[in-house]
Amino acid sequence: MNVQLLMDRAKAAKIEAVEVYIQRKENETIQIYDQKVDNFTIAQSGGIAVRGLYQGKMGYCFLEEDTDDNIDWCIQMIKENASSIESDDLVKIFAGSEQYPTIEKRENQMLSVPTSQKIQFLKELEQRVKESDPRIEQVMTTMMETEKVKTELINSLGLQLVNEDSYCIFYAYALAGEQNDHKSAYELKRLYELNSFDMDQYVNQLKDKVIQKLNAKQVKTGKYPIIIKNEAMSSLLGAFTDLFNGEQVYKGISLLKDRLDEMIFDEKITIYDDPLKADGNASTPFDDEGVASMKKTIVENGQLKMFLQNQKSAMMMHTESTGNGFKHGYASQISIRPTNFYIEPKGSSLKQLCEQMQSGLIIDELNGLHAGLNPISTDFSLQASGFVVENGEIVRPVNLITVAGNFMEMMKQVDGVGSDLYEALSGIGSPSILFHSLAISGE
Amino acid sequence: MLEKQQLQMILDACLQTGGDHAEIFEEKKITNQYALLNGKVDSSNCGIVYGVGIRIFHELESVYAYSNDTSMENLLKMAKELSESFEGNRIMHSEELKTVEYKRNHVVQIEPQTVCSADKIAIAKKASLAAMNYDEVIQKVMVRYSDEKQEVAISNSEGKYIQDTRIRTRLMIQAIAMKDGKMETGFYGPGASKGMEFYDEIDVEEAGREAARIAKTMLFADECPSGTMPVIIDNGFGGVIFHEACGHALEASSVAKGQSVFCGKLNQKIASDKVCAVDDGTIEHAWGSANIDDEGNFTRRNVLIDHGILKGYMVDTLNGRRMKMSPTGNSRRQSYQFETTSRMTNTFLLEGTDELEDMIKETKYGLYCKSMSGGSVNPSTGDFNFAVQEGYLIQDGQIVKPVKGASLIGNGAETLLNIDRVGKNLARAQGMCGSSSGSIPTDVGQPAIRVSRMIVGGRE
Repeated sequence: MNVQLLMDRAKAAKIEAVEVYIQRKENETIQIYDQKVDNFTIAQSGGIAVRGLYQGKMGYCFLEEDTDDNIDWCIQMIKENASSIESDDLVKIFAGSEQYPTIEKRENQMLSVPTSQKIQFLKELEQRVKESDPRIEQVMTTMMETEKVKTELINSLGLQLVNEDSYCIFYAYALAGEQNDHKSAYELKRLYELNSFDMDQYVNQLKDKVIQKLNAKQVKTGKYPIIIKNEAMSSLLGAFTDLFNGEQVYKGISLLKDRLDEMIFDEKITIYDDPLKADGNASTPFDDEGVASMKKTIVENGQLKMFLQNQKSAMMMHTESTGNGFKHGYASQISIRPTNFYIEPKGSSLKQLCEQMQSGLIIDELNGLHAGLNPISTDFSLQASGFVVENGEIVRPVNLITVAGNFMEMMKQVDGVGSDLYEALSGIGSPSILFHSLAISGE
Repeated sequence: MLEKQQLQMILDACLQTGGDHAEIFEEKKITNQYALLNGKVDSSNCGIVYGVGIRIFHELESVYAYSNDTSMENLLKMAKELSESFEGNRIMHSEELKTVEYKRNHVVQIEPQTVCSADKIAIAKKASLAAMNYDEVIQKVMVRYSDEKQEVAISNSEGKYIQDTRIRTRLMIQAIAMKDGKMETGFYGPGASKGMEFYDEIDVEEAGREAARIAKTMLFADECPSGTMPVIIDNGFGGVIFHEACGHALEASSVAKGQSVFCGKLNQKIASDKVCAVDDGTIEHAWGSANIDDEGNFTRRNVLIDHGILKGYMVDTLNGRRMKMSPTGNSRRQSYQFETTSRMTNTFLLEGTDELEDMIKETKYGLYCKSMSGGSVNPSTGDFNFAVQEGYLIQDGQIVKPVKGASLIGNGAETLLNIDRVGKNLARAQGMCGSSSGSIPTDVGQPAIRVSRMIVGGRE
């Protein structure tokens, strides 16, 4: 689409300011099953989102059909949608930050690896996982996804930003069985090049992960000291990041409203949001409103220091945007999202946390996070699995239990923080954490 | 939309290296959304989704490409790139495309696009106000109105060219009750494959009050106890138990490769005698219905379980090849950006002969779940979970108090055998189901049922 033409026509139509967000993606996905290419997908996709300020309100629209024929439709939709807004929330289009940071990024050599070589790698990986233990019945999927994304942000106030990013991820998803018991597990990794990849280590890690779960049994219903392992803890933290969302705060939906500078968590908890992190999964030089990224301390030794803000929430709370105005894909509107949002790791290894706990459970998998928790009250009750720890040692696997609690309360009762920071693909991260007591339902 | 002649050229180009089936899915979807906070429009968005997906089969292998650049030049380039995944010689040409004419069902009376935004917003406001006025503890009400019109054209190398238009609308209401620093929520979200006439048929205000009622009830509820106990799950969205405990594991995408707990169990007993279940994509105007699936097969009513005996799976063409079974009209996808695969449509348990009152009376100690939230399952192990939105404790055959924060977990293979009562009050409810081919509208449903033992996870 001719962006200049759109801006000119928008101006003529009395739209005060207009912003165009263009995203282009190229994606390749390969799935191997039983030594064959089970699925291969190539994609070019993208879209354009346009928003404009009309009579003090923000109107949005998006489209994927990229022709100038749609310009008039866009303008009409912006005006119509802006006119329907009744909320008194302040909105603006941003002229740009003074400076933008550069982020240290490892070169993604996977972009130039031919498909045939990737297929060979995946076939070898599948084979090795399959042969690593007789109890591994099959590898349900072995997949690799390579994606290149280009994002452009252009507005009528003179802002013009471009960001190019790429990633390559892969995983093998193994199914193990013994008698009538079946367990499955996968291990997702980011890959920058094939040569330095340690396949032995990956295969062993995945094999242990799935085999250790076989023949799991329940434990008795009751309260237990619990270590939530890094990966599971990251997903739990990720489900509650809206607590720190400035929009939820000014709308009065977050429990952290009016609690700035209070001790909200145990003093062992410090949380950062760092979009500048080298090789971070959610690193970015600017947000989707064009605000330059910066590292922020959200919780410092248990004390709430700040909220995440976009332009709108910042204006409503009389503060500055923290550069957290992001879209969930071009089609969505700007909301607030964390970037590399993580709990600072401390000194204890997982083994040391187990020794500290003596008796209790390790939870390494939580399911149903989209349903089994209430992001507003922060109550949760989730399907879980993991291990029983006695005398500081892992003694057996456990599954089909639920772990329940309240996130705000449990974060005040932290007995230990691990050193093993895990960073999810979303950028949310946490080390393993030892909690004083949580309710388990089982036998 | 692309012309038949163009499509045929692309399909033929797909087959140059030995592919034995090629398919093109073309889609244009217009969406509208309005979000209200406490009765005021907070945001509005609309958009056009448009693109093409091309798929080629070579025996059991499948390759897929999609793009929103639908110029012939680009589509032919994509077809060539895709076909290069195979190394053989051409074995066939694409047949001449012939339009499949059929009588369209689910025809709407008032197309949402013909109605102005103010009228749609007025509907959402009515629901908002009713929820806000329900009780003083209802402090926040979020209402989201959405509608969409999806036009699809599916063509394949066997000469099929078939079109469908799917129009859907939905109103989602979330009420938040607050008191003394506590917050609880209630959700209710009716939807249908209908146009604006849907809102004349349902009581919009009652929908708002329902969300508010749940939020208020949960605000004054005690924590749910934990442990293994009998659980009664009421009708409507309660059917999410079958969706998670069994439905996903009957999708060919799990079954074909031996990755489901129900593999090889056809004509065997997998559930208690009282359990009959179907997947029916033909129900007039239902949320998960359509005339055809996303491979262009007509939707149909598929019996999954008959009195406890497994009768069928939900099968798409590719997995059907692996399973040596015909497709069942269940191949679905969120959009052209997803390769289609076997999914549920409207999946539910059929009516039984028991009364809900009797189920409660016969339960000494247990949980009654009046409404549910979503859940998830691992089809390869059968372990599933789902959350209770509104629960009540049963003691000595009587409902004694509301309880909050419970989730239910179990293993599908075991749970189906433990369904010991099936009621008469069949109802369906709307949800969005997320899986490998994206997020799609599905109905869940059931009459009230009792499961003799389930793990209830609460905080007490």
